[in-house]
Amino acid sequence: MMSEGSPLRRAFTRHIPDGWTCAALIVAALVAIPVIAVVALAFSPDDGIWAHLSTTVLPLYIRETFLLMVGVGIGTFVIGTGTAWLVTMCRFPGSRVFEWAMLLPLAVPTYVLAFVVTDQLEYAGTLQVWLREIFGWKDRQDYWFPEIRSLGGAIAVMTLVLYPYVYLLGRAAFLEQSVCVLEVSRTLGKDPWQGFASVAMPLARPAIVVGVALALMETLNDFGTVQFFAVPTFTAGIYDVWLNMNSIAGAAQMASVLLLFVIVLLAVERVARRGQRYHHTSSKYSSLPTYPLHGVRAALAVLACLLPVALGFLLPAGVLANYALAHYARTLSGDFWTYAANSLMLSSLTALVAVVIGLSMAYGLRLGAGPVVKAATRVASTGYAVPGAVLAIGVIIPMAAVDNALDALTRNVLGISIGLVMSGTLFAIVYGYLARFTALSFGTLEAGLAKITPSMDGAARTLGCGPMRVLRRVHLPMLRGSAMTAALLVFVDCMKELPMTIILRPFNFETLATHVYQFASDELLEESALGALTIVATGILPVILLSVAIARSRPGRGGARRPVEEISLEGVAP
Amino acid sequence: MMIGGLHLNNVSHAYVAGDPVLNGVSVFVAPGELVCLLGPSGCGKTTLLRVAAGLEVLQVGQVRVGEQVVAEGRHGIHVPPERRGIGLMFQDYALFPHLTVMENITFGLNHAPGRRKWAAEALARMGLEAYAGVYPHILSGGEQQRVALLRALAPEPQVMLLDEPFSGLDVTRRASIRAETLGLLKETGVATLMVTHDPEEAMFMADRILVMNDGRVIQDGTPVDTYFQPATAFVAALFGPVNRLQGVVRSGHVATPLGVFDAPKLADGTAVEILIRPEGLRVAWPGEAPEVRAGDVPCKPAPVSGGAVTRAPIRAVSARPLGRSSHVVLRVPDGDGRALTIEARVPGVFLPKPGDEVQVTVNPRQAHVFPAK
Repeated sequence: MMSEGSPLRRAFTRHIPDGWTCAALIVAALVAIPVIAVVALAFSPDDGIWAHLSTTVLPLYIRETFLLMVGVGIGTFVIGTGTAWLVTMCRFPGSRVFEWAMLLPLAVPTYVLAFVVTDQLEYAGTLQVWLREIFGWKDRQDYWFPEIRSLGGAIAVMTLVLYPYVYLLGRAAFLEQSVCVLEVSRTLGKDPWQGFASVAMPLARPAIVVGVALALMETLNDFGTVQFFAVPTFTAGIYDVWLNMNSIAGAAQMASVLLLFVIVLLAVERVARRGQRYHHTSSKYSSLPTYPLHGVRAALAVLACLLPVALGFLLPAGVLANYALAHYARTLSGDFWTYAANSLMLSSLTALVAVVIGLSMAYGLRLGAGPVVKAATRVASTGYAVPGAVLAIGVIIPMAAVDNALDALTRNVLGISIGLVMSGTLFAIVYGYLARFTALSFGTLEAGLAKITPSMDGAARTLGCGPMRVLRRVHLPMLRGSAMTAALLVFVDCMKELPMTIILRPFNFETLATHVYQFASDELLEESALGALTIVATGILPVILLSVAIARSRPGRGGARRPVEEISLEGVAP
Repeated sequence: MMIGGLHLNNVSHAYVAGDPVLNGVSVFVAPGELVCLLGPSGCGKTTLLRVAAGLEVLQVGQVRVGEQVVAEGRHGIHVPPERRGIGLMFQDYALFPHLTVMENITFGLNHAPGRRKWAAEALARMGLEAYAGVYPHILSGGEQQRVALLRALAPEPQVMLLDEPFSGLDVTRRASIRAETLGLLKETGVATLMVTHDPEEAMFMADRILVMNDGRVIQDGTPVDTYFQPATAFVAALFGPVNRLQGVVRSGHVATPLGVFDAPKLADGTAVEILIRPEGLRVAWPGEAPEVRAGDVPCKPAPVSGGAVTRAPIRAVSARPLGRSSHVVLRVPDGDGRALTIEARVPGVFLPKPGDEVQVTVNPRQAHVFPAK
């Protein structure tokens, strides 16, 4: 009946491409090009640079990157899961506040925390000066203090900023667990701690794995911290090979090896997400049993939650605010407004385009896309996992090719050289941003669309609307919230973005992020504090969004059925 | 006014190649007619509606609205849903949450002031005029259902498709809303194809019932035919629990512990299954003159394998009052020293104690003989 070539089979495989399919395909391809370019260049013949790299620095890069990932992985897992459990299941003074306050470090970019921590804890920093005064020590020989600008320091800084990913997903997973399974474990003779270990943790494991994977993707993306701390990871290495050894082929090869790390993380994340589906125990909420803590236990719980927030957010925000207040007159009379305007312009432009692109991809997919479009959107939506330095290399390569081709064309046809049209322009930066952050807007809008039942489309279609009018009259009005969220998430990430901006920006073009990085690297944190504070303040916006979602999802408050999951998590990259 | 109705010819559909959901289904609905697609979940009913509406691209077969071909698999014709003149009401109603009740109803009307008046009047007739300006989420399930129906009818479709239209309503409201919907559909004279898995609903609403299973139409007939002359054991069992007896055809008859049934069309020696509805059994106290009607089969000892049979009495196992009827479980000796357990539904209150002896007759219109699988 269903043999090859039977009418049914032919009909099934037939696919009529339409405007939406083509649009989604083109957009996905544009976003995917940088990744493809990096891999392609890495496999092209080089001038022996790879042989040189692999015998000299490569083993070091691999070791340091690996150690950094292990350290941050363990750190974020312990802090994220522990605080999520405390806040979700126990009642202690301030536990309601910690529910959202635990997210605050998300607002702080890793490099900003690295600068502040160094500023405070180094030999000349506040803490050591204070210690010397108290104990009467004269100099370094009199006492021991850990080196801040080291691998350990980088692990600590990144853990403090990235643990909220694990916290967020862990908390959502704990909340989603039906009370019943936990109560059943109690009636079967387990105490709360045994229940945690034997029921709650195994059920939450996929979500926590996703959280750790996201945190590690951000770890690989980080450039400012490892560069400033002189930790020779891959991301720092790409920059080094490209600028100091002047080899773009070598940089692409390094980037490809880094991509292998990313692919492993992505695979882990995907598998865990798939597992999550089977770990739903119930879709119904009732209030979770909470264990009131008293005395020493309550104090320990407060301390466990307060420390990460204090070190990850209160300290940097406080120090920066202090410096900014002291130096604002000089900062404002300088180029601050130019940098802020540059950041604002780049970020808003990217946010706007990313929402349009993300929407056309998501809607194209909803209209019933074929396997090609599905694959293309999947590739495009993994952009967030690719470190900025890799994408930057991937943007430079095709742009230089297009520029050279254009230049050759005009020289042959018109007899004039137009030079490089796209490389080193704002277009290049926006393209790079889009390649990385379109995944955010796409994910948010796709989630928003998914909440609109397909029968809405069907109803509108049978009532006489074509696909475009359905989008305009039904989806867009309902998607307004998701579109705003998507734009905001992309905007904030662009404001913080450092590695791509440094590599792709035009000569002498500064954003707030590059300005902060430049000044703080030269130990002039005070002068750039206002800029850093501005970035942190913008970063608080998505934290507020998440907090609202968390408050709504709290059991017994009636609100949204599915908790925090709704808000795309990749969105809130530090 | 309207001609043609809905024609689905030999429609096949597969979401996954090699695993067809619909397998050569043909359906015709005349204008003003209401046809119910009845079948268990997963039998392809909803897919058939989606294919008819154009929400799925037809793979094999043909869909016509009146004389106009709106989809054909072989030639790749696919008129998009917005240009088919087919209304569809979804199981979840799919009211647009960002539009008011009136905006929802007039969503499909572009330049038709006359229909706007109709919408206002229809809303008033249903007692919903006060809700014209509110958003759908404050409406009750029944009110949402009526708004969704009006919205689908507003553009005057030639064909109306209803996907489980009453499944979201609570039992107490269902009957009245069903009657109201039926009235409205009959009044507009639209050709209606309705999907349901509730046989009682199909019996109530339908001019014709199409029973579907595994992507095929098994039976196409009036509600009475479908109930009293089920084409297969599957159709018979669709209308509720049945007692299943086994037997073998001997010269046009089947002997069972419950009596001898006619099986005129089956060859001698055919193994058969006899399905008897609980409401097809008449149960009475022994000695009481049973309410025997012409043609009833008295439950007399079965002539088992020629030998003389000592007839053991039928005894009650349990009895439960259900209100309008009583549910009685009986043990019927099969003559070989074993016993069958069967269920009966007796009108009124009839509550024998466990072990009480009763007498049973069978209404042969409620007993259906099929070849055993």
